[in-house]
Amino acid sequence: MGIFAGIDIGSATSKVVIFKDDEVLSFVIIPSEVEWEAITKLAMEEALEKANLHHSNIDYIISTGYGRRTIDFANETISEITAHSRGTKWLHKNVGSIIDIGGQDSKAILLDENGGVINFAMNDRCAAGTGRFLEHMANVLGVRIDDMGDLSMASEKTAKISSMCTVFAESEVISLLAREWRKEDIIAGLHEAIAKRTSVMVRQCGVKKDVVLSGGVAKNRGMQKALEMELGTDIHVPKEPQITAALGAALLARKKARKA
Amino acid sequence: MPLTNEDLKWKSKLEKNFNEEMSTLVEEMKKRNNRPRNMEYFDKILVEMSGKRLEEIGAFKEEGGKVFGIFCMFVPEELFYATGAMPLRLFAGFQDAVRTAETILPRNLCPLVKSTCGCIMLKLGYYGICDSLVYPTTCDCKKKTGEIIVDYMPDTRVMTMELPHTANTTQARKLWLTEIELLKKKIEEIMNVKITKKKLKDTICLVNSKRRAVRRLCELRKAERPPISGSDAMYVTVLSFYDDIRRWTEKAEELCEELEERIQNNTSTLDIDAPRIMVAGCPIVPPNWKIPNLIEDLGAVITCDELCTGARGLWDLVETCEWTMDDMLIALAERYLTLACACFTPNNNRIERILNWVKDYNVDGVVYHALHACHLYGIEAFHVRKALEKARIPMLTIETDYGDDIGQLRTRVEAFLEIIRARKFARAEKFRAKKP
Ligand code: SF4
Ligand code: SF4
Repeated sequence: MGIFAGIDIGSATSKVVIFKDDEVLSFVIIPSEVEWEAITKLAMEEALEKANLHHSNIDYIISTGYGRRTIDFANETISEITAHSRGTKWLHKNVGSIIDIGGQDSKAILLDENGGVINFAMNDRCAAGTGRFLEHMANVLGVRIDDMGDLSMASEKTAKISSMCTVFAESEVISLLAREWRKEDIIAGLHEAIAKRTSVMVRQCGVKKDVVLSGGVAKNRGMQKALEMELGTDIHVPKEPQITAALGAALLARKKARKA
Repeated sequence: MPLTNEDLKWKSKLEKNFNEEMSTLVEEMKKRNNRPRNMEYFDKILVEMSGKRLEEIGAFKEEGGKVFGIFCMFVPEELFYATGAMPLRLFAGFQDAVRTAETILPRNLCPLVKSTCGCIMLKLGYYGICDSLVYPTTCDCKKKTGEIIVDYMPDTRVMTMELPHTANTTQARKLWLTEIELLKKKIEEIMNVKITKKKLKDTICLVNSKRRAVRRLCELRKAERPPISGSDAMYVTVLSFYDDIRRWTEKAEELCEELEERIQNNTSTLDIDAPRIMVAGCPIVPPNWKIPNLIEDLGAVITCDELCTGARGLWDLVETCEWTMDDMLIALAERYLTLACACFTPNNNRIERILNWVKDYNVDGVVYHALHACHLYGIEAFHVRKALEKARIPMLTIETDYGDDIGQLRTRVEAFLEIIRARKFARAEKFRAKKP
């Protein structure tokens, strides 16, 4: 059958998935650095080591993500949209809509029954409503980004945040703090604001059950809940929400190798 | 307003950038392999826009010729040629000029209008050469900016034309005909000549022959393996607005002959499986050629364009039964009202044409080009998408300006082409499965 690798080089993190027959052998998630090429090589080696393999064992490699063209050891590149749809469909057979919120961009994808892409939308140039935005707000609030989800679950009264521009939202947060709002409520407000913005994009493409949320931000339970409220539907989060695109790339590598 | 010293400094910097951008574009185009050899002429025209071509126009003026800037496709070129004047379409795709215009205009205007306004403010290249300017009441961006431009062209006579909001009613036709008659009078006055029947007939034929060349070029792109890239074909078409009309037509016909040979000898380098794309929407103007180049660099081929800077703007001929003055003017009015620009409501003609062209050119997907803050095309995308959905043709809307957003656009276009390829593949599989 063979062994395949999918690499997703995102703006915040890079992911590598090693895949064999019908299972994921190993995966690695590392922060992206300026030296994309070198850092991705490291991630690749780490993933291979975990799977007890060597580079020469791999039959086909496909890269995806923002930096997909920066590495020279991939056989092919594919867009994030196709990669996400393949990976998510494999993990969650009944997926209809995908929402992916990554470090610097967010996207919505509508799929047909066979997992083919019907429509997609992506946010534009700024990082409003993405992982970076939340990270920045965590800094302003003096909390850890990983704690934001749990903190927001303890909110009693959601604060109103009206701006999605990082700079303006920061001053809103500061003034809320000055007015002695609880951090929990402010975080819930930030989640709600992102959910509102994201939901427009999702509705542009069409909302179809099951709705699956992926990307780094999907690990934030508060974000999941806010989106559920906004879209009025259950939202499913895969166990490893960050690797869906890399997994999709690996699946496509398998398909390519089979055809050849 | 006279230019201050500061303006002049800024202007010379921009002139340099403008020429550089044009040359860079031409260099980029030249790099593509196996281009038709007749493209050489068109490359030259673009590079020489602020050189030889400008000198040529200057010489024309020195001999007493007059140049009319026209702000939009709706102004009938025929009337200018009929008096010996030269119409020049004023539109720009130059980012630096956008910043110039932003010093006086709100940010939220389409880049095409801002760039054109900036070029005129600084009298950049041929944007500073016009004796008169005609701007029709099309979109809000154009008509209100037209008012401001007047201040920057104090020695220039400025005329408006009232374009109706609908194209299909009797009143609209009447109004537009009156506007055309009025324009004719004004031009006659400025030029101090009478437009005779014969002159008008000759120039209708002249402009029609340009349009026939565009049609011929379009027809050739229908081939299974188009003999020319869409990027090149669109570039040839858009240059018809800068070049001398007779020379351009001759050169375009020569190009078409070469393309016919190419089809016969099967020398196209374009991949037979390449997704066939239509580009629809807002005008695309050099040097901002990122959309056509991006689409084709990713392995697709643009087989047709529905832009007023391309096939939509130049497709229809002026058709008259009798060559009487009245009939000719009516035919002119009718022709320009069929332009199917999004400034009309309703604009079903446009959607019909898009659907027809999708069939004729065997289009797999439509890339809808919406410039930032262009309400007309941005809103009309809704009905175009709906009609295409019914016809099972995918559409990708790209909202962009003249800035550098190639990275984001690339991901979108790439994903779109992947969708098209996947569908084509699935269709082929099904077809194969059906075969015994
Ligand atoms: S799109 Fe319409 S308004 Fe804009 S330049 Fe073309 S014809 Fe004029
Ligand atoms: S692109 Fe749109 S806003 Fe700009 S001039 Fe044309 S119709 Fe007007």
